[in-house]
Amino acid sequence: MTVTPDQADLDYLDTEAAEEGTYGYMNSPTLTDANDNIIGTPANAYTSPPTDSYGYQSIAGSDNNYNPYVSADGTDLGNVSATGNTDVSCNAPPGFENDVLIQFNYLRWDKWRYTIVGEYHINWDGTGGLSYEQGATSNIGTDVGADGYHFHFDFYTTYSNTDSSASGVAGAGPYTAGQVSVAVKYYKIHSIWAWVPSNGPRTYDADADDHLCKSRYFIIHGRPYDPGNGFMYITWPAPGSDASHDMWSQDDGTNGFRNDFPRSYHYLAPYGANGFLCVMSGKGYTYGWAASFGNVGIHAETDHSSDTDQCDYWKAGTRKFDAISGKKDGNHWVWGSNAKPRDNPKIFANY
Amino acid sequence: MKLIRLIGLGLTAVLMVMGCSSGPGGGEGVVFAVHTGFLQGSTNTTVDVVDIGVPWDLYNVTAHSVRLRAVSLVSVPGAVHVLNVYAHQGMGVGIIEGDLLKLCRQYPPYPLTDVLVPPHSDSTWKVVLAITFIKPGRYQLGRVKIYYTTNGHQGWQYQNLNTIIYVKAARQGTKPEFSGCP
Repeated sequence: MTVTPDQADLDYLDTEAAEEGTYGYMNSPTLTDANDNIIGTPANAYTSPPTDSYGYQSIAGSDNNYNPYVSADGTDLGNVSATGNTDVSCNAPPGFENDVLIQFNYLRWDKWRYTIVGEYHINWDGTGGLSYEQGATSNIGTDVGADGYHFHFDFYTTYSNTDSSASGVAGAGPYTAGQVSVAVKYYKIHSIWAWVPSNGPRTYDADADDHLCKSRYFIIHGRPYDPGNGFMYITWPAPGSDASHDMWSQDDGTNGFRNDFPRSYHYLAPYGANGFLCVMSGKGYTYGWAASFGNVGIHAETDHSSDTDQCDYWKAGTRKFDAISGKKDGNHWVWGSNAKPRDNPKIFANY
Repeated sequence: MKLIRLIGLGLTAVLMVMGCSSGPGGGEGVVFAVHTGFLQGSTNTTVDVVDIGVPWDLYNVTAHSVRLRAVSLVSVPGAVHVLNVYAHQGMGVGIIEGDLLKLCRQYPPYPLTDVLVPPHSDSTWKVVLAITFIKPGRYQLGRVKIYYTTNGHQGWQYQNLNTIIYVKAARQGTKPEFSGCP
């Protein structure tokens, strides 16, 4: 494998104003207005903010010339393969054998973001929602970078809903769909691994007593966040709102069936009068842009369970013309985004 | 002659009961992927025919072809009557209402024994149970038992239905619900 080296520190460029000037900030699906209402475009959650040729995203601007293999002194290590212990730079160098290797973590900022954890889809005579109760878990991505400015998704860690007052969406509909978001605290952490004297204070101050091994920045989620100023910890578009109707009109009904074709056909099943379906297993959709910091898109996906189930309940309506069957009938057509409705699809939509 | 006919009818009835209670035989063995993680249901009346699809697909997890022999409900009260169980080509069914044999000629039924699922493959067949409920109540249809033949041996396995049907008494003159064809 190839090792990405430490790089010149660009963390100072990551200012609030610079983040807010990015494409990623302005087009975030969970962009909020001054009253903390989500006003972003839901469809963007299925995409990702732009990446450069190495797959990195710039937190406070755009940069197509970034090379993660160029070290702080300008050496290109892109063709240097490392074998065996790829963490070799953290072996104690001569003179530091009696020291201790410590990871120091420095908090650069903490911010909160509404983060999309799932969605629900209701059509003509239905109601339903997506539960997100205490005990619900999601996997939220951690982004890593060497210089504090360029980041890439690296791994997931588990986020648990510890808020007993949150239960998600129920009884929404008809003609509505929405993404459910939870307010999550995030941290930008600068981690430094360094050998420091074992008999002195365990601090890193970059003097001759200390040997820097590795430096990395992380954007990582924390706990559910509620500043207590009256906004909702968990939120979704109000039924019938522009956001709700816009998402429904893209994903459900005739348009949704057409937009999803041929998957909508292969994964289709009818439900009749007064029926219901709840999916409570598998994983929800993996959003590449569940939230963002500047151009850095946060990945998120939710584990379906009895705490996080998508449910739809249908009534006994009759259509004068069912565009799928081509007849007058009372069928409610359901299709999964990636599997049949009872095969643990990530999402199911409705005609 | 009449007595012989009565004995014959009685013997047939006894054999039918035995057939129903003991099943087509063989040992338990999972050949189809078991579906979990869903719950479904509907509210119907005592005059409705409720059609419930066995969770699709019947994905054969084994290295041998599997042929169906029968499918039956497991542990259901006497008020639950299975009218028929057929295989269909085309679309599967969640839960719909109506006598599909009479009302949906474009969705023809085939005997279950026509269902042959190749090794490590999804079945193109969909199995649908047509059921009536003669008493009001809450009916939990947790599983079906699938009887099959594979590699020269007979066997059976459970498949989850995870279905709850709420049944109300039909008022006089209530017509059976028909939601439409699959």
